[in-house]
Amino acid sequence: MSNILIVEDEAEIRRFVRHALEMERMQVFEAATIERGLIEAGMRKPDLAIVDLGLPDGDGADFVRQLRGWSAIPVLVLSARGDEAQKIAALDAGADDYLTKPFGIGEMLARVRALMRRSIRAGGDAAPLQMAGDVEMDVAARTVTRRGHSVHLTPTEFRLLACLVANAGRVMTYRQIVREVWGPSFAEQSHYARVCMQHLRRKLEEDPARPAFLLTEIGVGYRLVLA
Amino acid sequence: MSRPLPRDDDPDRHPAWPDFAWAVAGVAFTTLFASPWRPTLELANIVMLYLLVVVVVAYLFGRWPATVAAVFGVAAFDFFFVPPQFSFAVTDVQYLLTFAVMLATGLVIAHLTARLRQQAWQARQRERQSTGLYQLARTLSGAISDEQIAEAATPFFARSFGARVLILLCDQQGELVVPEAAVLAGFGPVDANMARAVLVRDLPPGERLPTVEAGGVLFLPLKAPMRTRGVLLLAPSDSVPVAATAQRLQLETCVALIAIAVERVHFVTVARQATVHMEGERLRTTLLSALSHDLRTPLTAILGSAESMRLDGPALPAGHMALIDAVRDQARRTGELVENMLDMARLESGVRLRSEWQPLEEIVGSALGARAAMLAAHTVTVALPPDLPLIECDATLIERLFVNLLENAAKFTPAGSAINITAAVEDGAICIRVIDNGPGIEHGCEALIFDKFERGQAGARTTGLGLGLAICRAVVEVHGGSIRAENAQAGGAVFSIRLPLGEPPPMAESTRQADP
Repeated sequence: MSNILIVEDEAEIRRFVRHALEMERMQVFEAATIERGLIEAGMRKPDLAIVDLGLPDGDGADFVRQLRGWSAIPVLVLSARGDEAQKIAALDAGADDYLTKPFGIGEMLARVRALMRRSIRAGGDAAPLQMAGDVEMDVAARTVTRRGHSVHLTPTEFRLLACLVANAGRVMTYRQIVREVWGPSFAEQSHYARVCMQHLRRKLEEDPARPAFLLTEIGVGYRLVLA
Repeated sequence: MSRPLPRDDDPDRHPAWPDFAWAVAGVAFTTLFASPWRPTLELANIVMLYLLVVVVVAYLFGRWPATVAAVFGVAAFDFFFVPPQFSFAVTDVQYLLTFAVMLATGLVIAHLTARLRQQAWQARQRERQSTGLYQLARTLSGAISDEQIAEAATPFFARSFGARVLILLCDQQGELVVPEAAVLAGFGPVDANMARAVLVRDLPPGERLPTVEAGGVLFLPLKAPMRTRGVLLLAPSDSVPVAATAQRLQLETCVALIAIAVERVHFVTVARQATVHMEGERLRTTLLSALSHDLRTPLTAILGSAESMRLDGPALPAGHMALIDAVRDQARRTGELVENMLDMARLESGVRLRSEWQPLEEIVGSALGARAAMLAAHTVTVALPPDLPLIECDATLIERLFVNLLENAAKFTPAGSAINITAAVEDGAICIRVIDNGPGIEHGCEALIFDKFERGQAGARTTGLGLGLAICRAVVEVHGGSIRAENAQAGGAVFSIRLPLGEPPPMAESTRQADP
């Protein structure tokens, strides 16, 4: 049985999130403040944390930063639209995904399941990775095929794809991507990532304007979903 | 003597006739005074009396009257005292030596006394100047408005230079403000062109002030450390020539002081405005985020609670399921309305753009993804040229623009309609079109539909506040673009958006398509 920690100051939201998760046979622990949340996280050793970004004793990003000091559990943050900066700060601090309020239960459960799967898979095997549209990537052999045909990628495009694949299911901010693919000195040049992504989609996606696995999180970054 | 003290004006000035008359009178008085004593006094002592007159005249009237006194003194001594009396002839030749020494001593005394007097005058003058400057600086340092600067400067210039001044300053845009009725008293209307010409003449720092003189008026740029802040017009009086070097230096110092004061007042104003602006912005942001939090939280709770009740599905009577769905759908719809209202409020209160260089395809793609369910019954085609330049914009806002346009199209066209998104670079702008083949826009309403709370011909049938297109217009306008709607010839509505074409940033070599 999985343990889930929810850090949220609104009791009504905690109540229905708890109900939905318990229906999925998960055990839920609640906290209303960052301080209490960190104590619960240390005591209960949860498998995943759901964290609201606006908490009475600070920003959800602070919680993530402190949690990341000693724990690698997946973190899903709850945010409001228009708070992109706050959202990005939480993701940069190490959060894995976000949900925009108001959110549906179905969407929330899907995200939770995806993050749990991801953390189980993180042990990792060397099998080629499958993506939508019959795209396969063999990281070890450094090859990408689409419907069985090899696709030529430039070294940068390959690095970008590899970076997203390594973090499949997570939202990667432009900052994180550019740091990893181009290097820390390019951290402010987020348009590099967007232009390179455009090229990558044209090579791998069926319809680049409606990507099936190289997804855009507008104003935040990208997320790659594995099939 | 009727004037016991020297006049306090430049001792080097050309002496006036009365000064010479006083010199001659002094010599005459001494002669009259000494005459009765001629039998008892030694001639050498009488010489001393004449020299004393020279000293007094030099002190009171300066060099040239003293020279006259020396010459007249020698003549009077010879005529009235040296035997033979009442004749310029001398019996004893040694008196010629006396005359020569007496004249020479007189001249030297005249010169030295005059120089002493000149130096004393200069020292007084300097003291007066520095006191004046000190007072001006003190008054200016307390000035908190341009008017106060002018009030401090005007009496100072009248006192120190006997001149009238007029200060012309630049406005926020750096343009010199010359009021229609600007008149420098006694010199008629101000030559505005001349003043502007002086203002723009750029000088390297440290260079002497250029003076432009037109119609007897001096134009002096008010050059402050940051930039030239205005022009000072000076109408000197005839009695005090401003061209003199000592005066020039003081004038330049005064002008610099005024320029610095003007600049300080400018920055004080800027700082005050910035504080007021920041306060206002902070208040709006706090209010908006409090409002959005307080509206979203209950909506999230309602939506989430309704959905989690649904999870218990089978256990509930069928009728309850429908009610729960209604709660959920209404909560969703209310949520969308709230989001639109908050978007509009944010856009109207002066949103801060998070502008970055974005490919249009990605934004359009994201909007299509966000409204995929709504557009399921429509055929949407995206035809963007592959070489379309990046757009500098706030991606989240431009995504809202497309989401709202797509929602609008989905709402006002029947199922099965086609929606086309195209883009092209047209005369220096990126022109994006969202075209549908629906019923089009009611005639005469093409501009009206972007107004708030306008719901078009189908208003009665559809839901919504009519904020969608108003948000579109606000988003485009904060990006410096324009949006308009029209009907296509073949029928259907065309929404055209023009966004400014910027100068895209350079790309790193390794991200180009061409690399191996």
